[in-house]
Amino acid sequence: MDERSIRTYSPYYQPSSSRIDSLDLIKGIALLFGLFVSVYVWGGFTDGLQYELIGKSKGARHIIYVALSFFLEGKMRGLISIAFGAGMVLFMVSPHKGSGLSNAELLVRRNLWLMAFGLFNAFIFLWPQDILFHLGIMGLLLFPFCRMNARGLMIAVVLLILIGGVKNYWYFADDKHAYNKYLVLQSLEKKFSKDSAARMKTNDSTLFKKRQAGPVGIADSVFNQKVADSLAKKAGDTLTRKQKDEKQAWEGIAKKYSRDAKADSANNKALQQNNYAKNWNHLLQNIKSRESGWFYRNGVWEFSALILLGMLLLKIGFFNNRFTSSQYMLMAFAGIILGLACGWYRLHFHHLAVQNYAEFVKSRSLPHTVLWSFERAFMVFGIAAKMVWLVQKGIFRKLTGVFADVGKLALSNYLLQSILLSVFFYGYGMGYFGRLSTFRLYFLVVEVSIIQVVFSVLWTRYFYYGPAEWLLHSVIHKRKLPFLKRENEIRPTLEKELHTAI
Amino acid sequence: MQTDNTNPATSYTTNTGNEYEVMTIKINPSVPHPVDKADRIQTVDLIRGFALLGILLMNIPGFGGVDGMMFEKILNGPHNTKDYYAVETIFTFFDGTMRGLFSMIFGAGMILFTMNKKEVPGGPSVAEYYYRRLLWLVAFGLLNQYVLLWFGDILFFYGLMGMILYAFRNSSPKVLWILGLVCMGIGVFKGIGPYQEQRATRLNYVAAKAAEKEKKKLTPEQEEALNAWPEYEKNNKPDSARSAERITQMRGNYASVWKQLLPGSAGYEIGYTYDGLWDMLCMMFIGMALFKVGFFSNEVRGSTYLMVLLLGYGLGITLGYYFYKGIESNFLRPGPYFDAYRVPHSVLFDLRRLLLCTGHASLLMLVYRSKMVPWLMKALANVGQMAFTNYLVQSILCTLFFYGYGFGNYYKLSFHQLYYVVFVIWIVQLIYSSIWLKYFKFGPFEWIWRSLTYWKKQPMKIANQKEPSSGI
Repeated sequence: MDERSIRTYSPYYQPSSSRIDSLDLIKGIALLFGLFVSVYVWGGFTDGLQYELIGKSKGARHIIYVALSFFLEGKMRGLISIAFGAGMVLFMVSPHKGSGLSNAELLVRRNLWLMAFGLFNAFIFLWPQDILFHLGIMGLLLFPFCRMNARGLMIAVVLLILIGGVKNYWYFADDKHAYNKYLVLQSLEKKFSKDSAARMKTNDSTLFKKRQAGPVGIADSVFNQKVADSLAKKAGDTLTRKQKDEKQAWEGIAKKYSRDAKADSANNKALQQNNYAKNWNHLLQNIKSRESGWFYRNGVWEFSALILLGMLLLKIGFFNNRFTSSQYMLMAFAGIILGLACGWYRLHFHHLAVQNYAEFVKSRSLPHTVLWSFERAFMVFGIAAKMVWLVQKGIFRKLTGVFADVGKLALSNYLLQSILLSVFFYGYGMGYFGRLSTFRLYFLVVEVSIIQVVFSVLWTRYFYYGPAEWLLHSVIHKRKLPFLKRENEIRPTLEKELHTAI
Repeated sequence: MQTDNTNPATSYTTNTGNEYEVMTIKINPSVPHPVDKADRIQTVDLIRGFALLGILLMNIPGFGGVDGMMFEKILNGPHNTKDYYAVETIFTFFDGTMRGLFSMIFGAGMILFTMNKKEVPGGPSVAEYYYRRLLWLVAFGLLNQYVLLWFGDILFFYGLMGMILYAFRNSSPKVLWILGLVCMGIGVFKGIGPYQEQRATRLNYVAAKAAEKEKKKLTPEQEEALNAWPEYEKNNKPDSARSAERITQMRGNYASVWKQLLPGSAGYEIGYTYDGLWDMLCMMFIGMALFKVGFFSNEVRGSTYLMVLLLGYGLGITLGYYFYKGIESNFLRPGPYFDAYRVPHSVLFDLRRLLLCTGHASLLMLVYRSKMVPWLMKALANVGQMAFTNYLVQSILCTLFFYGYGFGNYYKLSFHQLYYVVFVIWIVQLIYSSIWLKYFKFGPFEWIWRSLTYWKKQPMKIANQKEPSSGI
């Protein structure tokens, strides 16, 4: 990468250039479209309800859900990740004047502050699936990779994608194992009950006789059952505690993809309560498990694969018009087609798994999630290539310019989404949690997007940074940064700016 | 050893010369400071070595299979047994303190590492090496946890915590103290929450019981409370069936041990990173602060060390004993304990730990200065210099001695007998560390770690002069 091309990217300490940056565009797209799927979590369209939709095979809701799942689910987070990875490398090579701190120092500080912002977003704005916290951690973990060459990064990305697949296979293998144990126990129990019935017939102990004098009724059958149980216990014919645990373990897993309506409505009730403290308490466990367990088991692999992919793409000049527009088109086509193929695999088999998970576990050797990490990488790559192509071609400039503005204020917009939706859905605000159907949720997302677009376009006209970006960079650099653009720098009109761009 | 220039006797003389002039020296990476570098490293290594050996005191029950069943037997039995004395001593003096001391020295080592490196124009910066090193440490931690099967590994967490510490390496001792105490406060606060919840279960139960006695009509909540407490007690009682199952698994082959440990290992790494990080961070920050005022580098006046020793041990041991008695009665009789205490004894954990840690360190520094046992000091410093190797060797030796795929002594030794094993391992480590460092610059695992960090095979053999390492 040559010096000049780096400089044109440098987002900090330079009056924002009028050029549309493909990374900004990617961030903007990811932010606005990502909300279409994260709104399920915001609005209380629970996993159980989603499984019901997946289990269906027709209807507008099903079709839209599936279409969004193909293009958006996990991919928008992926786009953010590659922009973040590319951003890390850029950050390291860009000149940061003024604070006297080295780039490495600033990057470390940025990641620590991002974690803090993430905690704020999760615990104050109550967004359980916050990603800033995770990105901050990933930034620290993957910091040494900034210097790795493209070949090394390539190997790392492939390895991480494979690990993602293997882990998902592993979870499925655990389910299968639990199911096989359950089958054994089931046949054992059948044998026990047969034996028990035989004993009941032959056993002429006084216990049975005593009751036979009285009228036959429910009390009798309960009594007989008790006697039978105690006899079975004597003969060593009951499941041990461990076996009972194992049986329950599968029974829990078997319900994995069925909706627990009772739990859903309890959840809705709790979050509709008109009390911030109660909403907070109810969400606490969700937030914590997302930030700890999920991240350790899945998140760290999902994020790292795509963050490193972002670094790799930046290093080979992918975001910097290294390739011709037909090459970008080809990459976009290949990525999206492969992504769709993997997505078809996932959704098709998820559809089957939802309908009867026991049957699925019995008959399948691979889970529907096994290609998930591949799907994300392909689709994200394809969409990113498409974005770079758009910028390079310079078509739809007005539109891409607007999205890029949203992307420039990515952090502010991300937090703004949290504020708006938190107030809208939770009980301390307007309490719409669990009350809206998917169509209404999508409509809401469009409304929020409009607010964000207007906010971003207006804001970038007058200010160097978004409010959250300004705060972040000020704390990183340990000093107040200039905020307001000077008179002569304010863009005369958006239109003119876009026409002179590129 | 005697001709070595880092001989404690030599350094001691130079040090007494400074002793009354230099009270505290702020170590600032940008300003070269006058203290003999070799001397400073020596004392840091000394404390690290001490902590490293001490950490085995706390880990050996884990390796040996000690569980609630065994504790219950010892504590409910007569109190004049060796086992009881061992439990009492370990939990009064050492519980958490060795880990604490190790954390403190880790914080100090972080500053040392970043100080000793010069920025090379165009090359990777110190920060990059530092983070690479930590990422490898995380990887070694995973190896220790999931391959060597030491289920209480700390390297994983230290690697992660180190990534946070970096941004604070230039902070002043005052700021570091504040950070440390804030972390400590958060840790204590987080511990009280769950206690209050459990206590509420108990108090509701007691209230419901009283209402029942007075023949009042019980509300549904009270009915529930009557069941909730016995349920809690049952769940927290040591379970002999589970215990037996675990012992069989741990005495099995590698695969069965691995399977037995897997769920716990994942849970431990998740929980201790996310909820337990305050335990480490508080000691690391305080360790950095203490290092910066020269506490670990023999730069503080003898009288100060003496005072810290008296204060640390005097208060620490008293608090420690009180703390131990508290957790003992909490463990044996949770019901009456909840009735009696609004706040659990465990809130004292960090304070007593800090006192004892600084007490241990002061004692070591005073012994070091007194020149009484220079050979022992040197040997401990050697253990500390290859602390990373020694930590992993402890895992290797102990897993092989206790687990089924090795000698299978899991759950076969009584509590005090475990400490015979500890003494043997200590002696082995003291001896081989001294021998190894005669011929090599770093321990074998340090060498691998270093080579991975710099992505280049590092020279290991000693040429002329010993190069001080900065350890873990």
